[in-house]
Amino acid sequence: MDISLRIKVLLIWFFLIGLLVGARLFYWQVIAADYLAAAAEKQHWISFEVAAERGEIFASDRFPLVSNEEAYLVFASLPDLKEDVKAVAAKLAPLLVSELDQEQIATGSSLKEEKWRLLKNTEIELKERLSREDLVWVPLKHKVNREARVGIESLEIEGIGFEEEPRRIYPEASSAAHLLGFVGSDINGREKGYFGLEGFYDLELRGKTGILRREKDVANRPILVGETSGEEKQDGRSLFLTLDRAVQFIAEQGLKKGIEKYGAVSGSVIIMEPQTGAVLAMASFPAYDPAKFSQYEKELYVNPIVGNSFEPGSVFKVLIMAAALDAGVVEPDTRCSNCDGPRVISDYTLRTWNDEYPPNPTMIEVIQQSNNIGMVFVGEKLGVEKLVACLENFGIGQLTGIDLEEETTPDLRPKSEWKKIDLATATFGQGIAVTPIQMIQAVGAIANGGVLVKPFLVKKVVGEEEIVIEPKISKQPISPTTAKVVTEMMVNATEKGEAKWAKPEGYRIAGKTGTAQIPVAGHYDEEKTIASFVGFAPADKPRFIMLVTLREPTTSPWGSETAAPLWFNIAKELFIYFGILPE
Amino acid sequence: MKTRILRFQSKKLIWLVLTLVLFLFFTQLVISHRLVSSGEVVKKLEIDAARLDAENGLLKEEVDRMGSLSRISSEAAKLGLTRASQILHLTPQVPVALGK
Repeated sequence: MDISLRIKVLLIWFFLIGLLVGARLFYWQVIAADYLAAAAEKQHWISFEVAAERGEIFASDRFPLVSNEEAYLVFASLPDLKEDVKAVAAKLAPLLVSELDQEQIATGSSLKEEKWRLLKNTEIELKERLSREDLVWVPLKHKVNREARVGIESLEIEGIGFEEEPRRIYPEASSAAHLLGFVGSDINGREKGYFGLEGFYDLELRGKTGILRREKDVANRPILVGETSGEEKQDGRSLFLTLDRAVQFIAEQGLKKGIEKYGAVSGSVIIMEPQTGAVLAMASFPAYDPAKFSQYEKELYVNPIVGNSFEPGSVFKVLIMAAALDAGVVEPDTRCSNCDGPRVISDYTLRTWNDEYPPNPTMIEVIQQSNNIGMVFVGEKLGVEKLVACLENFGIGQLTGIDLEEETTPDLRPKSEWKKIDLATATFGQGIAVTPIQMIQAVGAIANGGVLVKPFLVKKVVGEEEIVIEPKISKQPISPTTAKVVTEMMVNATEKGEAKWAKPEGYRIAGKTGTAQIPVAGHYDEEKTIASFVGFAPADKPRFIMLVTLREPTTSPWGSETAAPLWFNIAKELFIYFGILPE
Repeated sequence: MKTRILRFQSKKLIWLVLTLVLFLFFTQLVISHRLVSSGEVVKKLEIDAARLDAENGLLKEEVDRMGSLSRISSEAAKLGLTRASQILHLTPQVPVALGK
């Protein structure tokens, strides 16, 4: 072959090879650039999520009511899984059977079959997850404890890893469960607070997950002088409550005993500082364990003190009497001129609770005797306009604004819809609904010289900065003089009324009993009642105001024989705890 | 004579370059080794910190559990403590301490 031809062929070869190299470089540099950069980054950088710790919730003595404990997410990195999926599932299942399910079996029955079935279900579920072809990373179990992690690590299964995922613990167990709420998951599987404080302050408590990126060497070790980047995690803020742990304990123990003693279906106690609205205790039974909330009926999640309404009955009389005295339509010594027998209003016959009708009682005696007919007299003097205006001023029909997620309010009937019978029954607390928190807030205004304050639970939110929450004055529904007069009427009712036998000696307590019938399908149940007692002590300088309600007590339907003695029993302990001396 | 001097100088230069290369090579070896060791130390420190954190967490849990009122109440009952049935109230008006 001619030398020049050879050179030409060689040049063409060079050109073609150059073209190929160029094309390949173009592919790497332009077309596959992003993919290769990502692959290089993955090889060069290690990045992981840093879970933010959810804020804690502390009682007023800084003892944690809700804290976090060490727990882990177990995951599988499917490409790294070397063993057979079925074998891995069989090995992991006994360690990943839900602790809650195990407890259920232990408490329910010890049937081997039931345990075996549970184990098999877990194994099948794990196998399904490990066989996914569309994923490379699958979560296997959330929030497993340390023991489970150690057990899984000892199996030395390649491709199974752990991520920190703290879980909620409750050092005081189910104490104040309704108030605290619980932490579940949202639709994306992320933690979310539900009900109570966990629900109301979810954004404050949850914090922000961080991301940490670091340069690594071939053995996955961080390079000391390498770069570090990412986003810092922000732990959730912690809540400091007004709740007094000892008062809460006293209230819960007292309520438990009271429900048993009086054979009630349910009950609740709320204790508040009347001057500030700071809630000291809030207890309701039946309750649930927030650590195992999924094992309980959903109806139990709602805090009945803020989420359920009831017809208050005679405890409501003090509000109507306060309104009438404040409006000047009656005086404490005004006598009821038509109290000598039952009243018929709009085809309904209204009676006193004991069907006794002492003639011409004064307003002081009307409250002392809890006289329904006397209260109808007061209502007629007051009229719809003033009565509704006063109820609105007392916050009836409006949310109190307490920092609990599930607060609701029954509507207050518009003025135009009030009939004669509605006015009459409302004066003794029937045909009108309130929540317990509204009731205690309204009576709290009487204890606080006529000033209505907003009830609240969180006094401090602590995170990167400290936010102090000050008590808020809502309005002044009655004058200080009226508040003093009604207080004296309530003291008289406690001293001389139906519940006087249970009152501790030597203390001036302002209180009022209540027995309300329960509305059922358009009429009132003949036998079932809601017994209640609201009061504050010491009457002249109240340290606390407390409302006790018992639903359907069976030993006696009357508040004076059930809720009142329970109130006094709790109060006796509070007197010792607060160091309140008898006079 | 001039050529001999040039040869001597170029030999010297080669030795110098070789020495420099060797020095840099060993320096790099030492630094790399130190970096790797430091990486290991950092990893070990991180593991230690995580372990201490976990231990602190466990201790905190234990303290909280021990301090719960329901536990204190049941422990008190086990120890035979009972509720005070008769309470004597001392008021500041009575000079009890003076024995008057």
